[in-house]
Amino acid sequence: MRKFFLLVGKEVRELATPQVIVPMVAVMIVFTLIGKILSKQGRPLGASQAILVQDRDNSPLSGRVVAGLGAARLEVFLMEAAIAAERPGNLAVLVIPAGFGERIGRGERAEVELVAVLRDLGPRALASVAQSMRAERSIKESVSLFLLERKASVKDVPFLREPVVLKEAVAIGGAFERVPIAQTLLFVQSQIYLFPVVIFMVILLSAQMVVLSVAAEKENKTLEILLSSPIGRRTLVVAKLSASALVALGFTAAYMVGMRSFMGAVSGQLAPAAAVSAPYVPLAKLGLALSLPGYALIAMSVMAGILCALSVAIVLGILADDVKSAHAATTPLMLLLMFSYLLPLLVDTRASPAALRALLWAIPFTHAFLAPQHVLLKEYGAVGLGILYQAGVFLAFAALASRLFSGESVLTLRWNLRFWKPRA
Amino acid sequence: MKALRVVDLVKRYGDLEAVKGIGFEVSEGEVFALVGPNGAGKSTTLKICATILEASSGTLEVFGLDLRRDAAKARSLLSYLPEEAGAYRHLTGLQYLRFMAGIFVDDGDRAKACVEEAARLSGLGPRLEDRIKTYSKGMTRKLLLARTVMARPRLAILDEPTSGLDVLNAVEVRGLVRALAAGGMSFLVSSHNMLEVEFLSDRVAILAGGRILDCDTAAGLKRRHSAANLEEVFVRIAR
Ligand SMILES: Nc1ncnc2c1ncn2[C@@H]1O[C@H](COP(=O)(O)OP(=O)(O)O)[C@@H](O)[C@H]1O
Ligand SMILES: [Mg+2]
Repeated sequence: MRKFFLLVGKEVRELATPQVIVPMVAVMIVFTLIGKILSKQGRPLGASQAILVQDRDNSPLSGRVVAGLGAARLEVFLMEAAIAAERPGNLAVLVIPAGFGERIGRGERAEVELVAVLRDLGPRALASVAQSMRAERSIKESVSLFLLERKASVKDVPFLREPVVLKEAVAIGGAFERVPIAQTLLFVQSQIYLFPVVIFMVILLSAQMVVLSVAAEKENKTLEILLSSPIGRRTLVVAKLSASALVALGFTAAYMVGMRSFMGAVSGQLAPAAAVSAPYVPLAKLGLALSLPGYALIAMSVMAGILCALSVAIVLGILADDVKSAHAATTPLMLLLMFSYLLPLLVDTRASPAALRALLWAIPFTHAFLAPQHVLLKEYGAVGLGILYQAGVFLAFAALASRLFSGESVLTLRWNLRFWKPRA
Repeated sequence: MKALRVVDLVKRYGDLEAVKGIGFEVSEGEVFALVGPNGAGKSTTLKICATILEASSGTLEVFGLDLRRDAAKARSLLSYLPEEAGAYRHLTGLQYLRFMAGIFVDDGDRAKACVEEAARLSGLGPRLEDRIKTYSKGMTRKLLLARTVMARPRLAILDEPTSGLDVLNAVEVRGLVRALAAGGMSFLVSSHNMLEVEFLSDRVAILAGGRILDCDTAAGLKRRHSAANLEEVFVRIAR
């Protein structure tokens, strides 16, 4: 048993090197940071939710309905066009048509219309629209109660239970379709939550691949042989970038194909649930089922993100001395990647303080992560600018790598991790 | 014209002065050896001659080409074998030679001839079809040495060419270097093995602490320091 503990002790000492500890501590820091930002983010979910009401009926019944909404913790704004335009973020708009009260009074089912206007696909913004679906219950209850008070005939039980038909619609990126709101939200969420996973994996894998390859060439000294050969130094950098970009393109294509069929499956599952009032087709019309150009634009943004990561990774690989330290050398990239991946999944970037947004936008990968959201909202300009910015960062780091390669820095630069190492 | 001329070479890594003003010349067809203990500055000097490190000060010329101005041109005249180098492990020996020939030689036919020559020089025979990751240290070293000389560089720079080789392999490598030098190739080699350089080189510079302590033929060094071998020479002058 003593020998066992001796061995365990040795293993722990061997495993707990700076190469392992540094990335671990760094990941902890990122999560702490994100936690801090989260705790500062506005009101908690489940609080009172705004709903814009357009009462075209103005009957005692519609008055009851509006009052009932307030009781359901929905913050009612009587709609004037100006309010809708001014309010940022997503909107839930309830329209009570003229003649609503009259129809109900005649014992006929009446319609109300609930429209979700999606302008922010941040996690909280989407969740808050979902909350506005509480309106449906509240309206039906208000009307039923109203009818019961009028001593409506008990024979009309089905009518009493469902006196109101809710017509749902979603407006997004200039498109408007009658689709069930809850299912649409689910679909949008699945799109914008799943894409970043793919992007995160592809970028991280490609970057690690390059850091490892540069570090391995340094360790094996195959790099020294190439550096002393008649090949131009810039050619070495460009070749490494091109080759790794090609492999990364393969990764991306594979993931995208997988993703598309996955998304197809997800939206296919949606269809039956929605079949009664809205078949699957309107999702495509809304631009929610991504079209081929949409995919292409996202793929371009992801590719730009990958190129950025590759050029940064070459520089990080230069700083790594050998394959063993390559892991630690990738840490800075991984931190940026995690930060720009996780934060938009947890926090509404559009509603964040300017400083936080600036920080996020400065990380080139954020643009790739948010590209799916922008494409869904038809904000193509934002995607284009993001691609340009990423291209700029890519060129800057490619130039830096080329510069490091052109002199002796590629061999002499390194992280000074000695500071961390326990004295031998 | 000298194959290599080094004048007042100084190399600093930050605060550490690894090479403290050394000078020597290598003639065409000569095998010139830098010997000295670990940390003497041999590899540093060779890397600077191979154009992959920059001198802190001093002048270097490869066949009259100044390495500060004409490093790119000089690279087509020289070839460098790093200390303890590896090769691309997933390639076979033959694939590796083809790849490197493509890098050093533009003409396809000549590249083919280079590969054949290197395959012969490596002495690896059918093992050249195997992946490099299955090679022993000695096999890799011979493959890399064959690579270094296959394109007939005018100056070959070999850092510890025989370190880690067994006796037979080391003898083979020394024979190869001597034969190529007889054919006119110039060599700058380093070694911490003082006995081997007696057989390997025409002239020897003894390097310690970044300075050349003495430089002569092995016979001349032994005679002047009345020593039986270079190890004794080193012990005498290092005191
Ligand atoms: N890249 C480097 N950075 C800092 N110091 C170095 C570097 N390379 C070598 N040195 C130092 O320079 C000195 C000479 O090293 P080197 O030229 O490798 O000696 P040798 O090849 O004779 O054993 C040693 O003290 C070594 O630690
Ligand atoms: Mg050395």
